[in-house]
Amino acid sequence: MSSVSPTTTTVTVRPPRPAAQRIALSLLSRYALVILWIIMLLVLLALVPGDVSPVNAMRTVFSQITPVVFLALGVVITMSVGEFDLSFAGIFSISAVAVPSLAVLHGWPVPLAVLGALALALLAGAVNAALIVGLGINSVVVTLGVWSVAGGLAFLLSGETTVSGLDPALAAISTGRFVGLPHLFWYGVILVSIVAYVMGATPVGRHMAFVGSNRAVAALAGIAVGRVRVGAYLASALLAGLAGVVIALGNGGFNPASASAFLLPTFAAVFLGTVAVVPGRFNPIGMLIAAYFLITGVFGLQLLGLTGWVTEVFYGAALILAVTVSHLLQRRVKS
Amino acid sequence: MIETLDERDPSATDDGAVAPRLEVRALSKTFAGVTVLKDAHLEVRAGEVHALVGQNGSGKSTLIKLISGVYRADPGGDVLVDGRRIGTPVDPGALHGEGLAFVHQDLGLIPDLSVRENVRVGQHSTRRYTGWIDKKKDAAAVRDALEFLHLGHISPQAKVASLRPSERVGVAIARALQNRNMGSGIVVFDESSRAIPHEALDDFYAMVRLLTSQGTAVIIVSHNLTEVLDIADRVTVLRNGRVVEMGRPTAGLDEAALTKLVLGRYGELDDFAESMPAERRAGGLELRGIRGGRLRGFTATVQRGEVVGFTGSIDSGLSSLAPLIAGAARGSGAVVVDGTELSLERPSIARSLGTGIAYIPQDRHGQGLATELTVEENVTLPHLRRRGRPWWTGRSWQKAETEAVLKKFSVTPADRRAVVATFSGGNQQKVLMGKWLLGGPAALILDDPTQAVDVGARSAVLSATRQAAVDGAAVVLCSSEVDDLAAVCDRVVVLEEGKILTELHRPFTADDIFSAIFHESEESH
Repeated sequence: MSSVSPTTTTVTVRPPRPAAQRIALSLLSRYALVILWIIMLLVLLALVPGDVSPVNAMRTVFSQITPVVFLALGVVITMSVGEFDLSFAGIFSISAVAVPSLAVLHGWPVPLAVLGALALALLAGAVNAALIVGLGINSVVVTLGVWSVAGGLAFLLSGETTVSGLDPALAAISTGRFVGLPHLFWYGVILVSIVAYVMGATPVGRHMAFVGSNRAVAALAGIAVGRVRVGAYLASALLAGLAGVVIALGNGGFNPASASAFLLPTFAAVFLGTVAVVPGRFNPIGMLIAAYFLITGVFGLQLLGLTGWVTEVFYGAALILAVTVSHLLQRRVKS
Repeated sequence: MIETLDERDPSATDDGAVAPRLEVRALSKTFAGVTVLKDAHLEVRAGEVHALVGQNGSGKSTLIKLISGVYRADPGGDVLVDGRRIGTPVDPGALHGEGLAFVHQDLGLIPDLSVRENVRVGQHSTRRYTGWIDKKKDAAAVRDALEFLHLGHISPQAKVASLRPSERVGVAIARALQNRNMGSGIVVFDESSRAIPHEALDDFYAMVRLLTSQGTAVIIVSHNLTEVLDIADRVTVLRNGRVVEMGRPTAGLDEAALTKLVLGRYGELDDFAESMPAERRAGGLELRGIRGGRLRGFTATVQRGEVVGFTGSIDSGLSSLAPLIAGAARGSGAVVVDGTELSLERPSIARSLGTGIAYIPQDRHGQGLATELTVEENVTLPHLRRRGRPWWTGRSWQKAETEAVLKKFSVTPADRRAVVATFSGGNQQKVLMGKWLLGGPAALILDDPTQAVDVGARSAVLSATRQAAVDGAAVVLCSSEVDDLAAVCDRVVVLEEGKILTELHRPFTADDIFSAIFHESEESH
């Protein structure tokens, strides 16, 4: 039998800390990652030869044209309802390829091509949901399969090459600047804010947390558990599709071979995000901070002249470290 | 490791007395500064059934885990088998060789594998050169072990899933006994009878007696005091991390006396039904032709302002009742709440909730509370849609209501932001009660709500149960705790074989309810 913490004797009465100290501690644990980020930035700047101002460095970091925030936001949603989704990389790939393929190779108007790309993404999400929620198939297996199928079909759509030739004027949708930073960055901030609000302040968000934490409890409270799970898979797929669209538009085309490189940074950002802002939970703002923390790290390594293998080692190490820290946090909570 | 008894038995100590089969001296265990077991002693003789009893958190499972080496004991204790010291620390890998075998709560069988594979796991005979499993040798060994238990008809090739429950128990015991000499060693059954269906229990007890008749010692860890009195020769009682009674012969004990030892009190609760009178009101709950699980169709009503207890023996169907009423299980018949009919053929929890049913399930961790989330989140969950808005849960009502719950039930620590897992079992149960009473339910369905809570929390839970009726809810208390039923119920319905056997009206005592469940005629008292 599992010995749940012994019932009678465990309450250790600690003298209450002064309020100021308590708030400081809580802030420290929530924003340690931000502090670490700043330290990392300063160390990098000190190490890098030549004169790079912190502002310029930050601008470069935030100007990265990357789908990681979009993809990781989708993963935050599925993870927080207790589901596992590997398929986002494939969905991202097929949507990103669909825009230029449909527009350039098949002559569809761009808005229609965009809608087509999003429809493909939702279709893949629906397949995930039908198999996992509807039939109860293991989510790792299903999403791994959907990843591969969607990623493979992306090659079919593109004729196994990089499809480009979208009107360069459209790139402004993603790469045009607002307050010195690309639109893509702001889209990420807006989406993260919306999801953070929904998860943090609405009944739907609370229901998501309970479905993720204990499905039986959620069901007995009258929550439509199946609907929440299906919704998470669809939302995640839609975000991966959106990522594909903005990246394809921003770059004028897409090479499907590049998609799987985003798998690891995405997971690293999601898990590293669980140690920030709302420690121990999958949360969008923590993820956003973590994503740019990781980008800063890679950027710094590049400045130091380290490229190629270092990126993968860095992301892999960050993922393991994040999960370990998060596990230790959880254990402290539970024991 | 085949030894003869002669080599094994020189357990006689210097003074000529035979050493106990198992002796535990001064075992203690401290987790993070909290002592969960202090200075435990235990002495189990060859050929006896020795029961280990105590409430959840009393330290009995800790003691077993120390003996089996799952936990490492604090320095200073000893574990001896036949006078030979095997720890501390105990090496779990060497236990089988030392003669200790454990049969766990769920029997630890893999249904998809064969009897042979289940019995021989970890003990496979292998071929000399290839290292492959020698199936023939294994099968022969399994046949021997089963033969010994008078279960020779079970084929070693049969899948465990195809066996009857009592046969599965036999397979688990065969695994524990293999490579043993008749009458040697100790077998520990850790809550095993929980996994055994009622109809197979007699076979299980027969096997236990067979073992002890040959000299093997048997330790039974059990919650079921009736079972303990039936089968054990001696009993050791733990309470709050201490052994309060070691090796008391069961011959002089009855259930009441043993209950007193376990609880450390006289089992008397305030008479909440008397001190908290509730006024019957119109409306309430109507159960029409309820079938499902072992329930075979019955009808009952519970008015608002009334607490009605449902009870019965283990196989009465009682355990199916609460989930059915709450819409959490499929059955047939109907539940009517204040005139709204809910069919049990197509149950919907959302619809049941909508009519004002609040259901407090038995499995607090599995179904009652999300323990990783905070008290406030758990308490307010069922009320979010009603009290909040689609775009904003609302902060102030959550804070106010949660703090009211913490205060009303004196939950400690009174921190609404604390994660539920950090609370004790009793305080968690209070939080669970608060979660459902918050909405002022039309009907409150409780399924064994005082399981594994300490005495103080038990009173709080029962008083809250009564308070719900005072506040106008129709309250259904499904429980096998006769003391609880006597303390809060206006009426008690006794179930047997899925039907109503009898109904008791106040005044009644816990003993009256007990007698009604077990058909004890008045004269036998």
